[in-house]
Amino acid sequence: MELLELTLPLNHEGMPDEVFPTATNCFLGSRYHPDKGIVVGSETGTCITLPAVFSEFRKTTRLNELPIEKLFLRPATVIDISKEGGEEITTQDFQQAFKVSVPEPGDAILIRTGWGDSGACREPGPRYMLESPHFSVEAAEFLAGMLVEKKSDLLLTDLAMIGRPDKHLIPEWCSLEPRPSPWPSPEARVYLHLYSPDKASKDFAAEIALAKAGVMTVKRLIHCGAIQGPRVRIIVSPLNVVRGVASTCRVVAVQDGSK
Amino acid sequence: MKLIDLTMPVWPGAGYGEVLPLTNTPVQFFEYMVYDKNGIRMTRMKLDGETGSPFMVPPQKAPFDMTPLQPNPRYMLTLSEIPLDTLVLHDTTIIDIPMEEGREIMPEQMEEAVAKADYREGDHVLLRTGWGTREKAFELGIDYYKKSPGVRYDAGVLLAERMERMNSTIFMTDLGLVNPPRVQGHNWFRGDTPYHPHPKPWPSMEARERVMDIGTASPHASKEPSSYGAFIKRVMAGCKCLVNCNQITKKRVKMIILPLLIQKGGASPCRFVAVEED
Repeated sequence: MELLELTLPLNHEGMPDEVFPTATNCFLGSRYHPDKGIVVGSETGTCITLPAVFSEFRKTTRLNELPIEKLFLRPATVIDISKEGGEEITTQDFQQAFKVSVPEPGDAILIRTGWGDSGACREPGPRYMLESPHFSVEAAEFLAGMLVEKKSDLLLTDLAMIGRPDKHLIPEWCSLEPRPSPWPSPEARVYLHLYSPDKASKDFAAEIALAKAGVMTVKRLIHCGAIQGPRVRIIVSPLNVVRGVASTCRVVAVQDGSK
Repeated sequence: MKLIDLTMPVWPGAGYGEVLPLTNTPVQFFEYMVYDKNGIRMTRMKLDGETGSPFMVPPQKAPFDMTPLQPNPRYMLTLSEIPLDTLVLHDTTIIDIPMEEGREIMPEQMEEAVAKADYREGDHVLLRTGWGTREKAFELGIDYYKKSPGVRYDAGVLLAERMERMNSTIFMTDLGLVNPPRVQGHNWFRGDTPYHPHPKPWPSMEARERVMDIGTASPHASKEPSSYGAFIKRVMAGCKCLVNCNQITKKRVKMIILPLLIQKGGASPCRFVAVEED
């Protein structure tokens, strides 16, 4: 049995996901600091997002209600779709990949693009987020259908973002110079004050397509290149937040039968 | 194979974040994106290293201060340095000492329980008292900790020394506090001069004044030594506030223990899952 760490470490000196106003800073307060402790966003670093993060699906399962078998030691099929920075993952990509790797029913699906191993997550600046490969909306809808067919409700990926929020967030936020800090900066507060459900539904259309199919997503995995073979057992370990809908998490792959 | 979740949940205002002056500060959530206004929910969570069921290494104040809680500890690894094979599917023995509210584990009880356990070289140790349940934590609030059973110092030393001889590296328990509440909460909620009403933890003025009064080196205001200190001097990590351990039906399990991967961190909320093999 070999154990592989697939988690982006939480670094209080800066996380690569702190780009948009929808994120918040990761912060550690030392012992005698007024904010002693740990501050994280629900989507800081490697994170799991439940469908209930979206208003439309808020009546669905929350973190503390998830059966433990959904997240711990769950068999997962690895699907390879190699992509460079900025590339889109299309329906055709999925069609081809699923011909090569056929998931067992009920397996979690791990989409490996290579982005998490590219080194971008260790670079300063927003490249890791802004140039992340991403699903087109149509591809996300196709994948959602595949996952329903395979009775799978857990998707993992080494992408920094599932879709690309290029209807509002990217053009409106990234045109600000210098780029402001994420929430709770004054700029982020003002931006989110005007960020309506309609805007969110356009920016997060790919994520919503998966949520509509009841799929939980885990993003920002790293070191997926170390996984050998088409199947592993996966451990997704979020905070056990009461009525939580998303959480930073630890992800470990258990590779059976190897040295 | 059966999986059993032994993790104390995380929620705003949880008792573990309200009961002590400094070691565990309140859990606070700020919902900065909300369903009705944004169509999405995003939460900023203020936690502490001892939130929920915590995983704590000897240099608990890392990454800011590498001074260990006890001098000359056996291990000095931080959260991001703990090997995965210590954390995932590691053999664990259950040491059973059923305890009632407010009682303290005595050395002879510890000796007898260790003798009865199926304890093998290299095992992690789960000290199970039956105190920790989710429902009890939800209902009792800070009383869950004030009324928790605890480990007397000499009993703690006995088990800690045994763990060192057995090359055990992780100590876990379902107690709310490892030290007896009269020790951990001395002159805060117990002792000669407890506060009434119960003060807020750090950064309250009461907590600041307490630090001024007892100094930064003392683990608590009691003159009694720390039983948690006896453990943390000899193990890679100490873990408390596990819940629902009575759902474990076997004397041995494999444990999955996953704290947040905080770069060079010293303590973190953690998930604990017991795996019972068929």
